[in-house]
Amino acid sequence: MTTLTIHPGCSRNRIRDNTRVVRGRRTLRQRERVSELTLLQRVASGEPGAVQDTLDRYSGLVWSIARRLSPTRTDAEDAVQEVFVSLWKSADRFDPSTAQESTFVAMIARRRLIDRLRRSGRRPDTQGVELADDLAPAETSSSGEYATSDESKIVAHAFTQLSDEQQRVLRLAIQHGQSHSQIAESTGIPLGTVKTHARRGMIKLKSLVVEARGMEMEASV
Amino acid sequence: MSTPTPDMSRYEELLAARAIGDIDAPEAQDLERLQAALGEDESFDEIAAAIDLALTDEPHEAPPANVMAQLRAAARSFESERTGEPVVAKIGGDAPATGLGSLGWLAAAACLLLALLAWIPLGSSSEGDASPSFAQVAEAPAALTVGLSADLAGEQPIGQLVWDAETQRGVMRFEGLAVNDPGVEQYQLWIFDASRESFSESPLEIRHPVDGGVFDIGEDGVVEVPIDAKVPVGQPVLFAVTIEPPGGVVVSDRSRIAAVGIPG
Repeated sequence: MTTLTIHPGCSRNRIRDNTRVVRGRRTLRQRERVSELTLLQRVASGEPGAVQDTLDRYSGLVWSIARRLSPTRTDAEDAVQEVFVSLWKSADRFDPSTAQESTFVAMIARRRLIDRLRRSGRRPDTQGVELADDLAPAETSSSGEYATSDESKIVAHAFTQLSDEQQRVLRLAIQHGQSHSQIAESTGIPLGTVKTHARRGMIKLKSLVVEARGMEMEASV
Repeated sequence: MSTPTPDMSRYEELLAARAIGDIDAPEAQDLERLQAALGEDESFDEIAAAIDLALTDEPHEAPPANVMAQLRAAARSFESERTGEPVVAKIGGDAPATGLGSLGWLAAAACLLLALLAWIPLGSSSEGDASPSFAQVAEAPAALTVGLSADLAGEQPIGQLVWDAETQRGVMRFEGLAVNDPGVEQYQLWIFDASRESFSESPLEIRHPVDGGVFDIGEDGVVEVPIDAKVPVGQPVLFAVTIEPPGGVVVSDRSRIAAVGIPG
């Protein structure tokens, strides 16, 4: 069952699956984590220098996403500033008890970049994506702080539980910003099937992540 | 576990589609309708972001130096605005509340790429410095006089501009530029400087014009507005006045251009 709740600290309602109600019982580590202000909370509180600090910490991440989700390098250069302004304005919506800060930053960046793609009607160049990627399913990897986080492990594990084709389609859509048409063309999967894999895959992924988070929480109390 | 309602199933499908960037116009409208009824839900966007981070196996390369410089400037501007310190000089007069009408010829410029430019917050000098008049700048030996028009073809004259490269001072003189409500939108001048960025066919290819200041038109008739270039201008090849949100912008989408002048 899905319930609509007002999430503290957020300016918008978020739909939370009731399996996440166990969030109310935080582990000690989580309590410690939220007892200190995160960078985005410092931005939201108006702390001098915090806005500049976001550039030191996240400019590489945002640039990486912008490069992948922009049609050209020039577009990416134009987009990063738009992303950061949006991030600074949205800082008060970040809730460290529900997501890692880097995930929130990536989410803001992705939404802004996807909006730009939709407005322009263009997509990132797809040439070489299929060849460059190892599309063999299930071997997810990442670098940096995020790779070692619990959240990364949960999400990566959930991803491996999708079907091979769902993984393939979602990888091309999420990581490379490809449209369903581009994916159909590059993979040979019929367009309708691509759409089904993408949407059902995402819904299943969310369900798996919610379930895994709930289990993790229950195990930790 | 109860079965999701049809609306909720549809909502989830559309949220999933949005998160991976593949939602068409009718679906977007449907999503908007459902959002109004059910509230915003970013959970799929969060999942997509988390997957993106988990899948991407590459070190995060730093943005190019020019992009970082622009980001730093934008951050300074953002912080200044939030603390209430002036970010831009109000170099025009106070204006009564009148909105700007749309300008028909904007379509020609609307397809141009975004312009990014470094933003340098102003110091306090604008209050104390006496601004030269149009006539004073025009007297300078090497003063450049440029006609301003509401269209790129130069068929709708709307004023003149004088620019003295030696003193880096200039003045715009408008007659007929619409009075603006500073609480709604303001004018902003951009100076396209060929000494900073080259172009092949049109000066409009220059992506990083120099910010020439934000100003208001507060009265009908002839209005003089000093130019407030934030950085030295070497070779101006185009002057353009855009209509922007209050305070001006760091990045103009050039979608609303009020005046343009090309040195002869």
